[in-house]
Amino acid sequence: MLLAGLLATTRQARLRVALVDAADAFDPASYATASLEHLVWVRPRTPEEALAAADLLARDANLAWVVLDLRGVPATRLSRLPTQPWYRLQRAVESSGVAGLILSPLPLIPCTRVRLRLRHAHAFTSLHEDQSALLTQLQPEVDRHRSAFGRLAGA
Amino acid sequence: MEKSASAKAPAFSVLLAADFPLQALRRTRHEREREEPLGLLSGTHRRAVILAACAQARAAGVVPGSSPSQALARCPRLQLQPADPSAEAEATAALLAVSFSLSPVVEETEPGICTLELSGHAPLQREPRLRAAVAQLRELDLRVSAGLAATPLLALYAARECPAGEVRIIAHPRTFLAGLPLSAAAPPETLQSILARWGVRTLGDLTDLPRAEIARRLGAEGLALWERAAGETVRPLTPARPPAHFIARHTFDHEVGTLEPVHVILRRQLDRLCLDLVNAGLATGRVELQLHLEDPPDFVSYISLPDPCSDPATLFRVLATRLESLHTASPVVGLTLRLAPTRPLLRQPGLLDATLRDPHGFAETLARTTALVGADRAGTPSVEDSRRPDAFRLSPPPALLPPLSPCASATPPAVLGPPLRRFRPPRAAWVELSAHRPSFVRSTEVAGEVTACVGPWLASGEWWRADLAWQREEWDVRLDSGGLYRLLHRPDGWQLEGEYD
Repeated sequence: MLLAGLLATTRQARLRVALVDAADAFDPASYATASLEHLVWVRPRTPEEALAAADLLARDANLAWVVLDLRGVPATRLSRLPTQPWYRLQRAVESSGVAGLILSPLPLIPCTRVRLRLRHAHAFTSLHEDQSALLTQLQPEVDRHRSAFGRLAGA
Repeated sequence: MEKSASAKAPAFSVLLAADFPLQALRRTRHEREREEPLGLLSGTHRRAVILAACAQARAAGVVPGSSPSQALARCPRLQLQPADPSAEAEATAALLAVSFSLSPVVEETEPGICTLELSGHAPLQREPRLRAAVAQLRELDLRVSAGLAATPLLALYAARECPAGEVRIIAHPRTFLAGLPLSAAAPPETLQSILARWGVRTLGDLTDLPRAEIARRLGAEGLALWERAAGETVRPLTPARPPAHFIARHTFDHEVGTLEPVHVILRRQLDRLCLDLVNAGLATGRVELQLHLEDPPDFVSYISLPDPCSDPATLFRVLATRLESLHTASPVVGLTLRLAPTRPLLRQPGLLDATLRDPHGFAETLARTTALVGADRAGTPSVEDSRRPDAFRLSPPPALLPPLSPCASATPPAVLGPPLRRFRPPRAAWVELSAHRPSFVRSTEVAGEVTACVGPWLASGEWWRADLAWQREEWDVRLDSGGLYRLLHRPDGWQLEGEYD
């Protein structure tokens, strides 16, 4: 749902979004046609390919958002990923000004600035509700919020 | 008055690439190989002889006419190669491209020699523009000399007398010709000995003799030689045609198994083709690269650019990125590069246009991503006009994002329900039924009791095509674990198609 909200908002603002879909689970038919016009959908075959693709896209300032969706990838595969690429990705988004969003089934990324926990359990009736209404039902909890000058402020 | 007279006076220039076949061959070699001495062979047969040698080889004692073994004895590092017609064609095209950037009237006089009419340029601009052309050819790895004079022949003499990389301007033809040896006018052998006996050693010596007397004593051949020596005749040029198609071809002299030689040739070709495009006031919107492989079929790649482009460095980056992940079954023996011409984008971007900041950088990023994940696995999705489930196509992202139509932004079309996250392919599931409705689901992804369900949603399509016909029965279920799923019932069994996000 978060992705649906992001796509709708960025389309309004005419910003480009890249989605690196590690589990190849994105369903274009579930979204409004207009919500797909500004999207670059990348369908890697492995989590390693997904990381490499996200790293490439995060360096392109033509994009406003790079979303790396790791949901659906087995936790055992995710836990085997090395940590260096996450730091590399962080540096890439910082230098290009691209916003990075990583959707993962478990707290995985060591260098994330903001980590949100999304709990949702749709009611059965939600299948017939408008997506924009469902979006308001999302209740994110801030799991971690680290300021860019956290250390300085802490000192 | 004098200034206007000189502006109207005819002016011709000659661009001359000495040892042209050798230079053409050298252009196709990698930078570090260009340091090696190079010799041009008359062929690949046993009796082949050296036709030309570079300055380094000549300094070591290699002379035209010597056999390969003699040449190698004098210069052990000498690289010997026969002439390469495709390299010469490309070098000629480069010479013509630079010539056309100076003048619309260009004659391909001989291989490696172009004659240009520069009367249209203001006299003060001629020399700087010629120098710029010589420098541009240097960047294209062609070392040329240039002559500028009132007649094509004088300009040719000037270019021949000038060291490579320099421009010689003939302001006083008589003074210039006076010192030139008679051989510069290519005298016939029969006349050469006669003139030598007369003590005629230079062109000036010959033109000092009366023209009519030369004609009376030496006939038509003598008269033609005198006129060549005077260099005053302005002959009409045979104009070459600017290229109508932007194609470059190259055949390697050996099978190529690495990208390095391909890159060298591609860069050369792009430099020249882009110059041709600029001369024609065009840019390219689509690049076609065909690699000829030893074993067919050839590898062909089409690259559509987000914005018309005529910058060789940008095009090279895009092509190099496309080739990065290329693995061919057999070695490359040649390549053909085609640039589809289009009008360059001259529209000024609007203040509120959501165009790409760097269209070519974006194209490069996409090319790199495509090289990583595969050509059919990256792009902008759109749902196909079909009721077949999961029918979509990926296309290149648009260069310009149009604003949402006012009515669409005010009341966007409602999309019902949370988005589906598909399992591709759908997972096989075991489903227990109760009163013909799913009551329990078990699959590799999830298992649980069905607490609510709705369905069946029946659909079928393309029943008129035996190979594409499809039929399905969908159920939306909620399991006791809390998740919402889509179940699929097909003639071959139950499947879990996806989970609602």
